[in-house]
Amino acid sequence: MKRYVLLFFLLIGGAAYAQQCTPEVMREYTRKCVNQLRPRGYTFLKSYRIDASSNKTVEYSYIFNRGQTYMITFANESNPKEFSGILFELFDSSRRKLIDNYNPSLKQYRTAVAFRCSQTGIYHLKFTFEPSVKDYCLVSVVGFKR
Amino acid sequence: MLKKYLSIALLLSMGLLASCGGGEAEQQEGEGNSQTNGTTENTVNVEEALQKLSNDFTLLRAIPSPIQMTSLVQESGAKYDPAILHDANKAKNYGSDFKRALNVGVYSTDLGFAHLYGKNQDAIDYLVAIRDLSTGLKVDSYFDFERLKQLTESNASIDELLAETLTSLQTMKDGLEKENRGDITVLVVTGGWVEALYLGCHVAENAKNKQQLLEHIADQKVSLDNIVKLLEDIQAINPEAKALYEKAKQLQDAYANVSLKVETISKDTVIDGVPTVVQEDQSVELNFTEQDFQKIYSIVKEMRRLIVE
Repeated sequence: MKRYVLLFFLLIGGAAYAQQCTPEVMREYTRKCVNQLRPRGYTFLKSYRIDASSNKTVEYSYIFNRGQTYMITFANESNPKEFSGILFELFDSSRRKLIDNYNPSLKQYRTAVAFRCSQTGIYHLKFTFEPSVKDYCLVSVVGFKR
Repeated sequence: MLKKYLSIALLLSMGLLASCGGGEAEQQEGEGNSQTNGTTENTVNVEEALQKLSNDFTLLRAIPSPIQMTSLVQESGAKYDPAILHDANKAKNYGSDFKRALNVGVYSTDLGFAHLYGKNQDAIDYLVAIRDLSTGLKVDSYFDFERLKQLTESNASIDELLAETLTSLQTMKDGLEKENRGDITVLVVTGGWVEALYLGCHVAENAKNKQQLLEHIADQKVSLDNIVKLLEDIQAINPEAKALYEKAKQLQDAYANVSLKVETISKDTVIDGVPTVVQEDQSVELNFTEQDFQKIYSIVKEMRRLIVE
């Protein structure tokens, strides 16, 4: 009997996590990201809505342009101070890592990093969800300013 | 009894999972690219082309938003001139999905441009045009036009309007990819890109301080390579794309001598309280003659004419 009850909660629990990635929830996360951009004078450019329930690593490519500063923000259900376990890494076209959102000395994951671009080209944005992360929904918004 | 409860539990779980189906449209990565169109009229070539297009979608996702070019146009000091934008009233004239999709892109760029200058009535006219074309394309379900109109009328910040418009466009692109209508997305992106390049060239032609615009126009070479590959893919799906593809190839030729060589070094710093990596120029070499510019502008005008006429 215990086994069936456990199975029930596992199924319901799994479904509840998946349900978090509804368009409404993702819109709310997008708003959280945009709210990080605005005070610093960035204009919304692009959003990535990530559901990592099947793939723990998700990667996108994007052309960043010379002369622009880009801010990449992240938001999920947690408040910014508790944001954890989701590593963001930015690579250039030669796969050289430029920046990530992890601060090893504080053991903290930041909810924003920025990149001032001088070389137009394809850049790679990689998101890795640690196995301990149970919330698979994430929105990342890229803003820009000169 | 136990079986009964277990069945209810399973049904509940499946129901919850099924209700999450809408969220799948948001996922952009790690999806299979299976072709399940199943309509008999599709030729093998079209299916192969759709498959190839699906594989090339990373190229499409990498193409930058036109808002970067339009904001540069504004920063160059250019005054708002509605005459250089597309006429919103022409939306009803487009009878094919090919033209509708391209012009959704054009009007989206013009919408962002008009709103950037605070021309809200023009922005609303472009929203209406996008709505009409989207209805024709059967993609209007991806947009919340009432909310978009409210944002425009309330003079909401450009960020709010852009976030809503671009997020809707992105949801539409993801949805169309899943519906095996990726060719429509390519056309929307192409239309928006051509319009932004057209606006950039138009303003750069007479701008006093055009160095930044010229650099940005030169940099479009990277996006153009992606556009050419994608248009090549969709020729097999939509023969109407052939003329546009050929013009894009001509544009690629016109860009052949254009280059922006930049040597940089990266430095870590903190800006606005955010960890930032800064690429600092070591050397910059822009090869972009007036002749190159005129050639590019001339072809861009022809591409735009093919789209809007």
